[in-house]
Amino acid sequence: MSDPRDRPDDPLAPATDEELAESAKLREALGDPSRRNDDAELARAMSSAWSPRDLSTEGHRSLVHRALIGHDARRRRNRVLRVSFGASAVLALAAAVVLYVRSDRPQPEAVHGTAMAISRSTQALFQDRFAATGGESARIDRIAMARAADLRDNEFAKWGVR
Amino acid sequence: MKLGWLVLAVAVGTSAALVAGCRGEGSTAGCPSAEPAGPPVDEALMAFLSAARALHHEADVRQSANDTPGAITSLERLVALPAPGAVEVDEVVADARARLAELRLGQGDVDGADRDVHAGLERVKGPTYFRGHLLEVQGLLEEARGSALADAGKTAEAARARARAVDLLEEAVKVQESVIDRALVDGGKDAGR
Repeated sequence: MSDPRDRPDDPLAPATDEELAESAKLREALGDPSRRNDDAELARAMSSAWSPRDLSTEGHRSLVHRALIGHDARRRRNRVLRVSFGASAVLALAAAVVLYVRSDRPQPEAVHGTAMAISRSTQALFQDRFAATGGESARIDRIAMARAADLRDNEFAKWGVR
Repeated sequence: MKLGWLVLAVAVGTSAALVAGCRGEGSTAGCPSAEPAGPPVDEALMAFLSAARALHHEADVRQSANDTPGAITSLERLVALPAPGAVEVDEVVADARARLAELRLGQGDVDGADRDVHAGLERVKGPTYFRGHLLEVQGLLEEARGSALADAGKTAEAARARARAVDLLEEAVKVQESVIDRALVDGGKDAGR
């Protein structure tokens, strides 16, 4: 018949090397709250439930340290978000500037808030190519009439009666 | 954070370059309108156009009375008119030069016609019907020169003149086509005025 103390679950059996190492870790974790150890956490929780006491200085420092690590991570995420929004805003501003320049250049001058007709090519007055010969008088007629209308509009704009 | 500054710098730099490029006096390719904005239409421009119109009609009257030298004189006055700096002035003078060249050609004054065509082409550089028409007249001029040279027995020179005529007429067609393409893209704005 074998000795019952040789069974692995015998509470009176001598501690194995592994158990000795684990107990040493638990002891160190109980003495130093900054070390992470699930068994030590459980032991502290049970002890606090039975007889609550003030946090030790080390325990407090450890908790603050862990909280700050999480906060820093959130701050980094927030910073990335802020930079993204800032860059988007700047790009939108740049686009607005470009649109302003685009809309600004071809605009005629304005008097009293009314656009003035400006000097420009008369090409747009002619839909068809010119005949090989003749047609000059008809062209100058059309040009003069179109610009006379422009001048009339400009005069009205200057007088502010439009 | 470095990435943020980089994006900021790129955005600011891009917008600055666009502003500088489109506001400057150099090439405006890629900008909203490559056509330079001119001064407002004013009395000086209108006075020139009015005088030019009168002189064209005066030339019509003289031509209909078979007074070609008188018509040429009217148009010579037109191209010598004092005028403000305006695109319209350049185009009207270029058109008058084309008419003068045709009249001189009819009178056998090939060199005089050539001078008018060149002076007109100096006025209108861009692709417009005005430039296309001048190139067409120049092509007709070279054709007439070629015929005259052939009649004089100068076969080689006549062939060169005819080749130049073909080149110029082809160039005229290209300019006209490019004007038509642009007009189709623009949708004929300003045409109703």
